[in-house]
Amino acid sequence: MEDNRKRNMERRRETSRYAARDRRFKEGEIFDDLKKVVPIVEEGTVTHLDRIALLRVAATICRLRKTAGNVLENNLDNEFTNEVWNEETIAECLDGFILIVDSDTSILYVTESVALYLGLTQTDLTGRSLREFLHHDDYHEFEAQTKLLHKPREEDQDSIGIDMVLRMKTVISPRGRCLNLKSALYKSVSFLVHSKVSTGGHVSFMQGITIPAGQGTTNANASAMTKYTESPMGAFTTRHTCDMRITFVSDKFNYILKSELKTLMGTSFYDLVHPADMTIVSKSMKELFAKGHIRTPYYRLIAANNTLAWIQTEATTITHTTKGQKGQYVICVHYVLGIQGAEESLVVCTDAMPAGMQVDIKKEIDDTRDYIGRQPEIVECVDFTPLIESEDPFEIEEVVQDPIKDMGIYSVTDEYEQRIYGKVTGPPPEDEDSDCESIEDAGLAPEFDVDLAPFYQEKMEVDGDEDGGEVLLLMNRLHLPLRCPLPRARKNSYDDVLQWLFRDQPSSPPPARYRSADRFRSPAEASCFDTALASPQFMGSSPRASRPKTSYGRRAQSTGSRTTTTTSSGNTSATHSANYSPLAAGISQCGLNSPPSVQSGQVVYGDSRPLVGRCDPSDSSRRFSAVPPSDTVDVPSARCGVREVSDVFAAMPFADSLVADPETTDNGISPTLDGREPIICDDLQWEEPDLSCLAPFVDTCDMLQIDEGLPPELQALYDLPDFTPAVPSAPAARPVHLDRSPPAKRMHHGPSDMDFMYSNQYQPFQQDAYWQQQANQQPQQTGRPYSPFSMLS
Amino acid sequence: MAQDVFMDSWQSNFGMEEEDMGMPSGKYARMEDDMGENKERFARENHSEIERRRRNKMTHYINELAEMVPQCASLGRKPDKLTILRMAVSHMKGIRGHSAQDETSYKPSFLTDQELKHLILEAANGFLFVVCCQTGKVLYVADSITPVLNLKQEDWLQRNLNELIHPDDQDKIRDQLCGSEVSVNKVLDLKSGSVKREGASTRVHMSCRRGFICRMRVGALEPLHRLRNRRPLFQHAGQNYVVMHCTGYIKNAPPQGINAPASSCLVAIARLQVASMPVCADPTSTNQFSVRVSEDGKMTFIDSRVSDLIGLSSDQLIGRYWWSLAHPADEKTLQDAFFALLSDQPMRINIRVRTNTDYIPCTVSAYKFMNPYSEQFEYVVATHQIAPQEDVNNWVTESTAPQPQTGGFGEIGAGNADYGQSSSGGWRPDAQVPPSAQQWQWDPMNVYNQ
Repeated sequence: MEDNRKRNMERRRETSRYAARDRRFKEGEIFDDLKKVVPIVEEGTVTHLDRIALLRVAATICRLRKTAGNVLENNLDNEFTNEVWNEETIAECLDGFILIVDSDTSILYVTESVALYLGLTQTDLTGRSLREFLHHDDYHEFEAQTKLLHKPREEDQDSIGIDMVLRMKTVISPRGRCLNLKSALYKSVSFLVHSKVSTGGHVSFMQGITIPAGQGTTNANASAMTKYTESPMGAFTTRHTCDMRITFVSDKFNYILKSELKTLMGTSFYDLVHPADMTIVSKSMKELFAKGHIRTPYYRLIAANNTLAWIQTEATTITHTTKGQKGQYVICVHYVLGIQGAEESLVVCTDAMPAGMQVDIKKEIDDTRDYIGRQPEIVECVDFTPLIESEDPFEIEEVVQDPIKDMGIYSVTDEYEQRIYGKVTGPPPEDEDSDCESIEDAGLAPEFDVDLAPFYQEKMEVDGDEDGGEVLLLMNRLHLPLRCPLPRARKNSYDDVLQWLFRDQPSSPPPARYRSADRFRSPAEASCFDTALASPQFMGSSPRASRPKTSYGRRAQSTGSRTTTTTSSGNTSATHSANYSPLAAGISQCGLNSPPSVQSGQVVYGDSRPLVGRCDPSDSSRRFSAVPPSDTVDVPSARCGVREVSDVFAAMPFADSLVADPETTDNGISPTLDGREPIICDDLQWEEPDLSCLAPFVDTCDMLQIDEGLPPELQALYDLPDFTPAVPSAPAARPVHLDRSPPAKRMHHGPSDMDFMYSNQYQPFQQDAYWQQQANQQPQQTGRPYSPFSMLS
Repeated sequence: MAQDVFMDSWQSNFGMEEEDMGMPSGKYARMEDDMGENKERFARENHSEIERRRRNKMTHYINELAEMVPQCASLGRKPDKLTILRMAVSHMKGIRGHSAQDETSYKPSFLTDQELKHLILEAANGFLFVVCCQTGKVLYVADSITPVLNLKQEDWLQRNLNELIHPDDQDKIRDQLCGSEVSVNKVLDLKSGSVKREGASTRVHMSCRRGFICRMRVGALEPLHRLRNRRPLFQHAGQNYVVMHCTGYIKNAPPQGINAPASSCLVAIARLQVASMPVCADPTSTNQFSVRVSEDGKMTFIDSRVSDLIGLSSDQLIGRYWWSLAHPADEKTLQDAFFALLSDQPMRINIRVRTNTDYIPCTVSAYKFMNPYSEQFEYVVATHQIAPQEDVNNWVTESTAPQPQTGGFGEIGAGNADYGQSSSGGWRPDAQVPPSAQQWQWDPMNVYNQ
């Protein structure tokens, strides 16, 4: 009997075992099926992916469809391009995630992108209560706020939504490590919440905006924010103490507020906020200190010129410990949304287009966009471009291609192009911002912002010492056409300008030729000037070719005292003969116009050709050119090959371009080469520059200081028409009659101040018997007062 | 005991879901001295507790499914577990029915594409668009643009993006579309401090992401209810622009389904953050101006609206005492109210405010702004609401501040001075003019000398 019962029991157990196994098998099958149809995120789930989870998600889907199906209905057309919209695209595009939360706070749906931001996957969150994932206090806040949202409303009124910051659990540490849900951190997420009526009651849509997880600690972010203040997003960074006194401001702030950044330091940020928006900002700040990170709504800051800047701010509190002391500060990133005037900022969306008011945002304020993200451009030489354009003695042989666009500068206006490249199709277009008559205005008008940074690194293919290279580099700044296949003519013109401007620098090479002379030569000779070096014909045309003449550009008269190279004149005073006057040296340095003498393989500067043998006392014209060769700065010819020199120094409007190109020497007369006498071109007419803007660049330290009282004879020396003393308080700073007529003409006006230089009354201020001699032995030209510009008369 | 620690932390933070988390959650709160043999017993009991909870949970969900799935609900009585599950499976398949053509590539998802589009529209007020980086042409824009910006798809498709955004933002957009890697990385560095490669969970390299705020053209504003009474609205050349937040990423080729030549393009969602826009429902708000007053009563900032509303420029007013804005008879009122405000009394008074020619009634409300962190006084913000014209005749000057009972300044307290009349209420035209009024160049008394 016992056995029977036992056997029965066993049999029953066996059947039940089989049945159970069968059931389990079937259950497993069904669950497999379910797994196929239920969207489960496989990887990275924090919670276990078991059958319970499967059921949970399945139940939630059904619930979503049933109780909140209407919120997903839409009356949008069924587009054929459905592939664009999928979870993957959303995840990648959206800067956060979206939750659909039921009225009992169970999460009905969350986008898959939540994994990027919180580390919790869709499967982790679906079907669970939101309460589990929010910070305790924030949950109550959320509850309270959504109660307001759920109040009955009229049907047609769309819910406006509430902006709140809630702290959610994240399982990815700022450094990117995965955490256990138990040890999850809290992350501040900005939520925009609004609710909709659903068949089951109310449903809340929560859009969370935050930064992706694992993006670094806030401390690292803080330093990055202050370091990388340059952002093309139109954002700027400020740093404050906790009571919002500013401790750091990025440069872009300046463009908006137009106030000195220095004066902002230490002031309260609240002083910058428009008082009408203070309530918004104050509320956000309070939240900041409670939660550590906030995103404000849009508010206004007081900007320059009676405008207001709409801003949205992301603020973070940073706690750091330095030197054992715990400190806390606030970093704000402000996104500039736009700038408006005071009335415009009151325009609301319903009454758009107030009658008759055409509002236009002031251009100069909105230039902030242009500057943000750009390298600061230094367009020093723009001032000088009109020398080429407006006077334009040079032929414009070809229309220049648009090199600026080729080089990737895209913000240069057409005006600017015209100016640079001489594409003068007419008068410059009407521009209310800048008065185009003045070159400074044209050069500095804000719309001419050209990013010249790429050019800074470029040097011409010229070896040699750094000085020369530096000069060339400076020239190249403007020398945009250099990178393009441009005709020589254009290139040369810029070289000319710049070389001439920098001629007074110790290392600036002299001009190769005087291109302005082109105009005044006979047409036959004009063709000879396509090399930089003057044709010997030109040289030889002077009947006084044999006479050594100084070559002074038209600037020499004016720059006689303005410039000097202290180094060289300082050096020279020690080394050269007693016959040499440092004053003269200074003056002669100004006339660094002679072309280098190339043929001898030794290029010398300006007047500093080897004239030792030629210091003919009988030739007073050489007075100012007597710089012994020891003073010359030799430029190895390898550096300034003929071609390069011509490129670089061509066409400066000087009285002479006296270097003969040995290759183009026609009749073998190379007067200035081999240390022969300098040739002075007599038959060149004067060309009037716009002197006011063509100041050569001379450092103040390089200027000849004339602050001591000079004897009146020497004062007269500096009473040149263009002279402005290095030290404005110098006695020589008296109104000078600016006689702009060509010096040649001036010569005819009788004794002028300049004549004084060369008159017998000239008293060198150093004991110079030699010069005394010179003074006494002025050669009298044929009935004309001597002038160093005799070539011009 | 270790279990207590588990239990406490879990029960305080989480609800009933512990089993799914795979963590133990016993109910045992007993502290035993001898843990040896109890541990095993607890473990067994714990385990069975866990199991029991799991089974409860499963039945709970299955019951829920039974309610939700229509087939199950229609049955007379509750079917058994397996049947419910089978019905659930078929129901789920049915939900996705029409779009599942290819079984092998079938990937279940919560929402259909259309529903996703709608969700983005509803929750984020946004739409998707695709722009070619090289040319700036819009390759695709979702039709959900219409509820957001009240523009049609045709208004956007094949247009250059520059036509659709505010001119001042064009540089910013260009930087985002074609910016060099350097600048883009710097954007990222703002957030991360370094450019890092993300873990396996990210599908897009961070450097491909783009995000910016720009102003986009909006169509006729009338149907856009959400934007009603919201600011800011930017206007330029007759067009209206609103602030949109765009986030997306750069793709090497246009996404599937879009006919376009292969080039890098930006796929982004543009959304309109209405909740961030301050609302301004009061139509009279254009007739108000704000003033910041320092502790000593001097005005430190005046809204530039003041020049339109009362004809005095902010340069004239800055540095003056706040009460000098008021009618000389009202000055004391204002001054008292100010000091009362500093002692934390709320302020909302009606006074008369001077203009360059006249006096007009105005409501002044002010509050004291304290630094949120240090709780120190910063300044007083005063809003002056110029009364609309029709209220002028009923104007009563009143104040919430405690009133000193003097006779010299008229309508304080119970005074009922009608605007522009020398009434018996107490205001007398020959009342003593406070010296501050003499700062003004014009004689304020002329108007009221009757």
